Amino acid sequence: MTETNELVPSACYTAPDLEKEFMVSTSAERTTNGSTTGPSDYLLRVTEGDYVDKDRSREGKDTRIGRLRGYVTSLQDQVNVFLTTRMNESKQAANEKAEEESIERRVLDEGADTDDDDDDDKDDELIGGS
Amino acid sequence: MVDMDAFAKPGKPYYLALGMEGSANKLGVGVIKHHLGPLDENNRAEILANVRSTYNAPPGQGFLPRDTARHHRNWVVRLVEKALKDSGVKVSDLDCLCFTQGPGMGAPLQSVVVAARTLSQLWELPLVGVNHCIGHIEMGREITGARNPVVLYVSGGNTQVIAYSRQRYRIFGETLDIAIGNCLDRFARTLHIPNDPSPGYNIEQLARKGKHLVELPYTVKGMDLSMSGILEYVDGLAHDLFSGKKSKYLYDEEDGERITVEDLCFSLQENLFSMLVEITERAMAHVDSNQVLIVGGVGCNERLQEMMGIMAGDRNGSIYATDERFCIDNGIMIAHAGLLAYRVGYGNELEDTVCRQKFRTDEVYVKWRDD
Repeated sequence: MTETNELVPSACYTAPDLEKEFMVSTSAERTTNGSTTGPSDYLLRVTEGDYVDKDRSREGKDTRIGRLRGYVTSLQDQVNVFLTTRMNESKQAANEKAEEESIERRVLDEGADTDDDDDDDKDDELIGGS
Repeated sequence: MVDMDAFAKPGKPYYLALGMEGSANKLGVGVIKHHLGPLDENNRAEILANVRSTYNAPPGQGFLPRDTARHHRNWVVRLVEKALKDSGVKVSDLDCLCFTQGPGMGAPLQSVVVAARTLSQLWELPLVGVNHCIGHIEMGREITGARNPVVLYVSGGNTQVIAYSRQRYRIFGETLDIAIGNCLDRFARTLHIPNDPSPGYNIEQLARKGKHLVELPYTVKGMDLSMSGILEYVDGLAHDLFSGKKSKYLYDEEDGERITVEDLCFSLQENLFSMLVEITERAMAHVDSNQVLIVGGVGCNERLQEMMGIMAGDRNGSIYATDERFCIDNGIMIAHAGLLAYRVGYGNELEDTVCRQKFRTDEVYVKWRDD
């Protein structure tokens, strides 16, 4: 099999603020059991370390399709790690923004209203608006 | 009479189809053979292979989409290999590749669709997307020989009473909330009994030892039924039982004996199955049929078959049921229903193979029947 015939996958992520290419190296060690494609964290947690994984993938074969399987697993790992980090970052940013807004509101509310409980304020608004 | 051979390959006296199922926690692959001409008592479909692998969650847990999809992804190649080996069929001799397009859980469905698309391109075979419920109905009809029955489709994700009319399988009655199998499975989780071989099977075994019938809510709503409230109620009784409460509901009214887990399993089954019998009987009266075909995983339950049999007997009719090879989700039913559709011209282009979690039984135009 010549190198030109090798099936090598790649992936591309596009967002308004970012573009990223994912590539795999054909010389890196291949596996069909990726670092992000094992049993879910939930399953591992509820079984408290006793989980017996009967659903592992078979080892890949050294054929054109078999190697592709390994490359895809590696590509999937890269994409999973990247997207998980990105989601966590955006979640964190959203939390920080919410926190800032809540401080701002509390500071503003203190002057106008003696009631400093946000939830109560919300209830008041609902009642007033209905 | 529908022409079932307009799309036959010239000179080939039969059709072969490979079917792949993975809408819930079972992954199944089957190979079926149809000879030319309409299927009847003298021209039966031949089952060449029917293999299955089940993902079981640990006791007390349900199967989650992610882990179930992983099971399917990692086993699908091995199962396809086994099915081909069992059948002795060459890939080049296959006519089409059938897969479950819905309804079901998104992630497991998706895994199997991806595998089907890949194989279709590798082997240059047309794809046929199959409605899971239609798969159960057509396989049930083929195996039992029931020609035009009222179909009771009971499984972990579906509860429907169905009757055929003018090229559609029409839904007469169905659950308004959870499926019957889901109700039983979730009660099994409350009891912390194993999910192997299936939670419903383990409940059935416990129910056989039950002696006292505990009164539970009975919630038939016209032709439909509701089961979530019953589950909530019986779950509450089980919790009280485990925490040692002395509530009067936990003692039998007649002999004063304390209710057991077995009694609860027995009562839950009796109650739910009575509801099913009621709506099925009404559907039979509506369409003037005296045949009932039970399909779906819960259809394996012998007590359900017995109760349905008593009702059908009273109406001078009979019930048709299959064993676990065909009741429980399998690949052969997808191959069979897909091949019926293929023979009258159905097929999916690659871009039309997106799976659908909601895909109702009555959406399918049953072109292969004209009775």
